[in-house]
Amino acid sequence: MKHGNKLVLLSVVAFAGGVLAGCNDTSKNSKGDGSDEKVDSVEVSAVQKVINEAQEMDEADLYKKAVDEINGKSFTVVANSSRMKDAFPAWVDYINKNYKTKLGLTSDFQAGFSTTQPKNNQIFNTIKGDVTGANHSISMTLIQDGSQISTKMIKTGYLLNYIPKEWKASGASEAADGHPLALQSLSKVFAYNSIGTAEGAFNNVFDFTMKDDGTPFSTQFMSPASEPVGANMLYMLTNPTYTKVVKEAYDNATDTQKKIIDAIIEEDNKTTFNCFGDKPKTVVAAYGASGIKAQIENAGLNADPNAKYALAWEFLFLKNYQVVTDDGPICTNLTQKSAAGAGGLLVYSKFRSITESDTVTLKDMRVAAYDNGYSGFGGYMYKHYLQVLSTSPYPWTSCAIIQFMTCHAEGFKPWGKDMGGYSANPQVQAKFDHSRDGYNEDGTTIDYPIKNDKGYDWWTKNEAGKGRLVLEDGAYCSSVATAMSDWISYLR
Amino acid sequence: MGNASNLTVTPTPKTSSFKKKWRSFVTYISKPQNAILIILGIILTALVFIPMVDVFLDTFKLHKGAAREDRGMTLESDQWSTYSWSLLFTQNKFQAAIVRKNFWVPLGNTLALAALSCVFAILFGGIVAYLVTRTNLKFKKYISSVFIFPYIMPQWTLAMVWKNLFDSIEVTGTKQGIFAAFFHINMPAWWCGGLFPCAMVLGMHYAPFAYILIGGVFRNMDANLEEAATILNTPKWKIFFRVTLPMVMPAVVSTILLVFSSAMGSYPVPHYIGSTKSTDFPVLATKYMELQSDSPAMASIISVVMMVIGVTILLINMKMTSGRKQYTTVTGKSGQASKVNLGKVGAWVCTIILLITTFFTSIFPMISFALETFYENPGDYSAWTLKWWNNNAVGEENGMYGQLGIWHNTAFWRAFGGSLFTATFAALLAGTVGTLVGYCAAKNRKSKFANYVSGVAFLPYLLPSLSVGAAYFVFGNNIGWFNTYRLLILVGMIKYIPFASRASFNSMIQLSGEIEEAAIIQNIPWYKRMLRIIIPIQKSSILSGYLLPFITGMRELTLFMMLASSDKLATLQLDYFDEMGLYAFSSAINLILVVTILLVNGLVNRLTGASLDKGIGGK
Repeated sequence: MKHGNKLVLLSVVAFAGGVLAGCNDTSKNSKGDGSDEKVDSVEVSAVQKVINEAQEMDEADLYKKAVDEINGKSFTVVANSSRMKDAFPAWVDYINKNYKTKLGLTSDFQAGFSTTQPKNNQIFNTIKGDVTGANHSISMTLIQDGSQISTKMIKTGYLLNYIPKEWKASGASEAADGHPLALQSLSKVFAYNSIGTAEGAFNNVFDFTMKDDGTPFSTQFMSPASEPVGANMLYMLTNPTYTKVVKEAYDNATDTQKKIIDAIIEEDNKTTFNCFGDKPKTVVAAYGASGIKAQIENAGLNADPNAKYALAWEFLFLKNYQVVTDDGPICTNLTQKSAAGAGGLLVYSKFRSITESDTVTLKDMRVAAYDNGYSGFGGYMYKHYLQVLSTSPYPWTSCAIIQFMTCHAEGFKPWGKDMGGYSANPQVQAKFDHSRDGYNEDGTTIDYPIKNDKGYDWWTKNEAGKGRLVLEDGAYCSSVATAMSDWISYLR
Repeated sequence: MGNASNLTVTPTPKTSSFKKKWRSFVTYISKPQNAILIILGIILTALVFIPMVDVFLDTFKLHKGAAREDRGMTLESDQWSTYSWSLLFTQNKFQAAIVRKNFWVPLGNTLALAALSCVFAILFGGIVAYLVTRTNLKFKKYISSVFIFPYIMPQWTLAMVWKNLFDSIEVTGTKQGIFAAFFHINMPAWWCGGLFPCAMVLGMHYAPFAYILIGGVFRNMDANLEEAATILNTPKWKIFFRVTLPMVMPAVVSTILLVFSSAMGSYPVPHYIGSTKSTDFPVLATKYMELQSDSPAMASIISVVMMVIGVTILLINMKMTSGRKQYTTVTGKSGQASKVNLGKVGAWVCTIILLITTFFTSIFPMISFALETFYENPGDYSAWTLKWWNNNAVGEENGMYGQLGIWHNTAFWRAFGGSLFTATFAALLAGTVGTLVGYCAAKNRKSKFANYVSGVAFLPYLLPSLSVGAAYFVFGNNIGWFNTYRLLILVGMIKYIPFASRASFNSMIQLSGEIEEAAIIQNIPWYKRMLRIIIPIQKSSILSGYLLPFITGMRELTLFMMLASSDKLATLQLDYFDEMGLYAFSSAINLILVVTILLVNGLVNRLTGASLDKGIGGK
C-alpha cells in the first residue's frame, strides 16, 4: 500500500511539477499580467545587432552567414500570403545554382521550411505569442495592415525592420516603402461577371452598392473584421484625396442613385422609393438612419465638403455587401457561369487559378475600372511588409530571405508571376509585365480580358480613366481608426 | 495558585490537539483516494480557475493599439479600466446601439440557438433511441453505428454540406448548390442561413448525445411499471407520457445541459451559415472573433458571460441531479425491457425513414466530401480531376493556388500528426486524471471536498469551448505557451476530463467496496488493486473515458483555434482550406479524420469491447 501511495504521489506531483516548472521556465519573459511588454533586452539586441550588420553587407557575405546558420535546420515563417511557401525553396535553389562554389559547399545546400497563414487577424496574436513565449520558433513574417503593425508590433518591439543594402541602391523609395520594408503593393479590385449585364451596369463605384434604379446590390467582400485591410480602405476613403473621387462618382450616378444618396446623407424620412421591395419605402425605412452628420463631427471631417459622399458610399456598401470568408470563395462564386451579374471586391491575383469548364469560366469576368467611362475608385491597394521577429532563432537567414525576396526576380516570382502584385523594388518589378496575359497563345485575340493587368502606375494614378485605387496609409488609418471603427461597428 | 500555574504552564492540550490533527491528517492522506483527491483538487482548481481569472482581469483593460479601446492610439502600454464594462450599460445612444449589435443581440441569438439546438437534438436523438431500443425496428446495428457519425465529424462540416445542398445565387448570393443547380429549387433565406440551419446542424451534430444518454435509459428501463400500467388498461399514449417519459427525464435534462452549453460556444457553424445576402445572425462566438482586434476587452467580456451561463448550467445540473431521487426506478438492473411492436409495415416504414434520414446526416456528407475532392474547381460538377490528391508540381498553379495535392502536402501531414499527438496525449491525461477523479469521488461520496473536485473537473465541459479557448489564450500568452502543443494538450485535457470522470464515477459507484477490501486485507498495493482488479472490471467504461477525448480532440476546432497556428492541427488546416474556399482539400481532410476516428473506434472496440454506441443498439 505504501508503494502504491508513493507511486501515485510521485506521478501526480511530477505532473504538477511539470506544469509549474513550465510556468517558471517562461516567467522570465512575462510579467504575467497579460500586458504588452518589451521582450528580453538581450535577445532583442542580439537580433538587432545581426540586422545592423546585415544592412551593411553585400549579398554574398549575407548568404554565407545565412547558409552557415540554417544549413540542415528548419526555418519558420508566419505570413499573410499562402505564396510564401514558394519563396524559401526558391532561395535554396538560388543558392545551389549561384553560390554553391562561391560558398565552398561540397554538397547541395538543404534546409527545412514551414509557413503558416493565420486567418481572422490572428497573425498578430501568433507573433506576440511566439515572441513572448518560452520557445521562439518563428523567424520572420510577411504581414499586412500598416496601422496594426505600427501600433501592435513595432512599437512593442516584437518586430524589427531590415533594409537590404541592394534594395537601397535599387532606386526603391525608402521613405514610402522602407519603414517598415514593403515587399509589394497588391490590389483588391471591383470585378463582375459580365454574363447578361447591360452596357454600363457597373460603370460607377456606386453600382457596387445599388443598381442604377436604386435596387440594393450585394458585392461579395471579406468582412473588415476578419481582414482589417478592408477596414483600412474604409478609413482611407475619408481622406480628402479619395472623398473627391467618390464625389465625382456621385456626380456621375443616375438620378435615382443620387436621390437615394442624398436621402441617406440627410436622413430624409419623407421621400419614398420603389426599389426596396413590394411597397414604396423611404431610405431610412429600408436601411435605418445613417448617422452620417454625427459621424462627420465625430471623425473631425467637417472641413471636407465631400466627406459625406464617401460616408454615404460606405454606408450603402456596408449595409448591402455579402460577407464571404475569403477572396478565394469570392473568386469561385463569381466565375460560375450561373453567377450572371454578380460582383465582388477581391484580390486581383485570385483570378489566376481558375480552370475553365462547362460551368466555370474566367472569360466573362471583367475588372470594373477597365471599362470605359468608369467613375470612382477601382478598388484599394495595401502592402505586404517583411519583418524580422525580435526573437528570431535564425536572424541571418531572415535577412537573407528578405534580401532575396526584395532584390531578386526569382525571390519575388511567387507573387510577381501573376497580375495584381507589384514589387516595391522597381528593378525587380520591371521583370514582370502582365499587360498581355489575357491574350491567346498567338497574341492576337484576348481570351481573358481580366488577366491583362494595366500595371502599378495605371492603377495608382488618381485621375479619371485610371485605376484610382485607394492607397493604404497606416498613419492616417490610425488617426481615424477609433471614430471610424465605432461607426462601422454601428452600421453592421 | 499551584493549580492555576499548572493549568497555564502545561502545553499538553495544544500539542496533543496538533498531534491529533496531524495524525488524523496522516491517516486521511495515507488513503490513496484521499491523497489523490487533494493533489488533483489543487491542480484542477489552478488549471480551471487561473485561466478564468486571467480572462476576467482582461475585461478590465484598455489594450494598446486596439482601435476602440486605445482611443487616439496614445497608450504606451495596456491600462486598467472599467471602460468596456461601462459600455454595456451606457446611456450614450450611439454607443448603446453599438453595444446592442455587438453584445445584446448576439446574446439573444446565442440563447435562441442553444435552445433550438437542444430541441432538435433531443427530438432527433430521442426518437431514434426509442425506436432502436424499444421497438422491433430493422437494421438496428447499422442505424446505431451510422447515427453517431455526425458527432465524429467536425461540426461545421455539416454546415458546409448544408451550403452545398441549399445555397443559391438568388437567395444566398454565393453559388448554386445541388438543389438550385440540378432541381432549380431555391430554398428560402431562413432555410439557407440564420437560426434555423445553425440549430439544425448543431442539433444533428449533438443528437448522438441524446441518443446515447436517452438510449441508455430506454435500454435499461424496468418494464414492470409500463406493464403494470398496461394491465390497468391505461392507454398507450398515457403510459408514454405518464410513465415512460418521466423515467427518461433525467437523461433528457442531461442532454439539454450538455447540448445547450456546447451549442452556445459553437463558432464555425454560425460563421459559415449564419449570414447570407439577406440574413444576418451574429452570435457571441462570432462576435468574439470579430471584436478581438479592435475591442479585446469586450471580447473577453463575451467570454466571461458565456462562462457565467456555463456555471449557471452547472448549478442547474446539480439541482436537477439532487432531485433525481424521484426517478430511482431507473435502476439499470432490469433486463425486462419490453419491446413495442410497430407491426410489420410500421417497422419497415420507420426503418426506411431512418435509413433515409441517417443517409443524409451521416452517409451523404461522406459521399459529398469524396466527390468534392475530384471536382476541377470547387463546387464545379462538370469537370473531374485527381489533382487535389496527387498534384506534385511545386510552384505551379494548376487551379489550386499553388498547393500540392493531399498525398504530397507535407503541411497537412504535419498537422495531421499534430492532431494525433495532441488528441492522444490529451486523451491519455484526461482519461487518467478523470478516472482518478471519478474513483476518488466515488470512494468519498459523502465528502464535500470530493464533490467540489468532481464539480471542478466537470465544470470545463459546461463552459463553452470558445470561452475555455479564450481563457487559455490569455493564460497561454501570459505563461509563454501560445502556439505550443503542450498548451493544446493541457486545454484538451482540462476540457475532456469530464468524459472520463463521469464515466469513471458512474462505473465506480457500481463496484462493491468488498472487492477492494478483500484485496486490502491481502495487503495488495493500491496500484495493483487498480491495475488488476478495478480497471479490468470496469475497463469498458474507463476506456470510453479515453476514447471520447481522443475522438473529440481529433475533430475539435473552436477550443483550439485561438491557441495555435494552422500548421499545428488537421482541423485548423481544414478550417483554413474552408476559409480559402479550397473545398477539395477540406473535404479530403474531413474524410481522413473521420476514417481515422472510425479506425481507432473499431480498433478499441475489437481489442476491449468499448465503443461509442455500445450498449444501445450497437451491440
